[in-house]
Amino acid sequence: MDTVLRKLACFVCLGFLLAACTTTSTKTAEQANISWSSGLNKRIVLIEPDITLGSLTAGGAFDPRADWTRAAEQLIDQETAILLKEKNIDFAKADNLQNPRSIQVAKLHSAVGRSILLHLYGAGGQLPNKGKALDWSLGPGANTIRTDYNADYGLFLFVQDSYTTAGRAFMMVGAAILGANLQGGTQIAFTSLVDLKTGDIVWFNRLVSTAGDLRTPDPAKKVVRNLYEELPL
Amino acid sequence: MLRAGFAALAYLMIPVMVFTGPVSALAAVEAIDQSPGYKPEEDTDEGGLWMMVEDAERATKRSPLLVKDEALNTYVRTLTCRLAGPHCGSIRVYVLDIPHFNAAMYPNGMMHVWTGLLVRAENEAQLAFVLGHEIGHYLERHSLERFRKAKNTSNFLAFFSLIAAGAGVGIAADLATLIALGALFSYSRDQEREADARGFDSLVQHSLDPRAGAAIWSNLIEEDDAAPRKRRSPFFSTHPSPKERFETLTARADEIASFAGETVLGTQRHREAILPHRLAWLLGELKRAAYDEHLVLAERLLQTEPRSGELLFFKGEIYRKRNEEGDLEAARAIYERAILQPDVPVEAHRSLGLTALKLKNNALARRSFETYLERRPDADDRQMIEFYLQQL
Repeated sequence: MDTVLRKLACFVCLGFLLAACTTTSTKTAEQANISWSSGLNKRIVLIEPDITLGSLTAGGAFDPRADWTRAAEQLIDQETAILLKEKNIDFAKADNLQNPRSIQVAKLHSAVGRSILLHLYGAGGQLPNKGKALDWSLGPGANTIRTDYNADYGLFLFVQDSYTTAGRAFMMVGAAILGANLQGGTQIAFTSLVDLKTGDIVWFNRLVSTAGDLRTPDPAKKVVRNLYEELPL
Repeated sequence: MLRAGFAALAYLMIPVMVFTGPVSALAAVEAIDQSPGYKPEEDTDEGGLWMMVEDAERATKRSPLLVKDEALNTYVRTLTCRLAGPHCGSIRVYVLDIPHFNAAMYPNGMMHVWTGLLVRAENEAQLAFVLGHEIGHYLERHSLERFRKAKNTSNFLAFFSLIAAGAGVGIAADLATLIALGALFSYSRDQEREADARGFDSLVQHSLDPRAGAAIWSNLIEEDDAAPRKRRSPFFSTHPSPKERFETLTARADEIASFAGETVLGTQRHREAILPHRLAWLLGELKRAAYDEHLVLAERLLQTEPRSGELLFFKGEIYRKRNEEGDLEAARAIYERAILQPDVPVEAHRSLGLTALKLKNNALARRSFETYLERRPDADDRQMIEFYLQQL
């Protein structure tokens, strides 16, 4: 769907309290030449995904839930593997990096990913000299992950998903009566694809959604599809 | 900390804490003591809290601030274990190189001990008081109470917490974050009192000097009094005033004085454990540039070891870096005393040279720089010092 239309659709659904709505916004680096090492199976490594599910309390605080998070982690892994398999790509997971250099790369990504979110997507956060292109890199240090996991590309993923509690829903209805729009549970996710040879971030996607329950298989599948649909691989 | 330890929840909690007003009803936590090896169910809010803290523990293990020295860790761990008794197996101690007085106990059994605490504790008993206090917060599950309270009082903040959570990718367990969070979180008045009582009891139980709690408080009060009003230690943002806590602990120590029996301070053991690191930690303190407070600390340490070369060096550094009216002269005098002590760090000669340079005492500068290079031929700032020598 055209992104303008999509934005418009989302804007419209903001008017409806519990209306479900999902937007994704992908960016691809201009010089993203996807190339795989010859002789190797195409392989991607998912690097320490940061997934947290919880509920939104009546007061609006985020209340993390361990069981939901675990369920979502499993479903996301499963669906990601299936999706990549369709593209003929093997999928590995680096859940607990040991190599200190790789740990530094992962830490660096948490800062760079956040910066991309802020400066490329955030309203008013644009850097005057950086422009709108996705031209961010973690540097060739990312190579350690490439060697350790035998993968040409790394995938980073951040998901924070909150669900409306009964108390929050009650507050939302109350607010609606008073003419205010109180936000319900929201899913925020972003993912980036890194060329582990150069460290360049070749593709980035952000997802904001008020629908798609990650705790159950079918919606989780949809979320993973939304996230990786436009993966340039 | 003698405040809450919640770095993990940074991104979720900052907005909550900033806007939280006074609250009346505190969600009480049912069980008083958690049993050894306790682990909450995953589908509870406590399970969620643990999950977040476990992430923080993973970040702690990778933190560049983590002090890995085996002997030091063994010392702190052994003492913690003694105090924790049956809970020993549930508590994991991490020593972090942070120049502030603090220790923090997280709900899942992770304990942070900051080097600023180790360097300020004068003996094992004082350290034991603080550790016992922290274990008290842990056993009574105070952080869960705080967590629930914060949750129930955070009106209209969904927006803020989500933004913060969305932006807060992973956990930045850096120094600034840790300190900022420590400042944001404080346990309630009653929780601090309960934890102080626990700390005191653990001294008595283990035949450690019952006055150690009051003593460490009074040292801290003295140091904090030297701070400019606007920069008082976050440690003192906790509710029961330090003075009140000092008085309560003194009164309790008085009560039991007659039948306390033989007690120990453990000064020697503590000194042996921290001495190999002390100079580095003290110089780390200087990064805070809280010179008036550093001076109080230096004076206090010098009272017991007036001829310590490293302590004199530390004191000289404070004056040299503060660099107010007359400070350079004071620094010079102290360095000159320091270099007469057998345990003086070689860097004292360099500092004396730099001070003399500023005082335009070229002969002294030359002598000091030459001594420095003589004793440290492979100094990495050799070229710089040689350049100074040429200029003289």
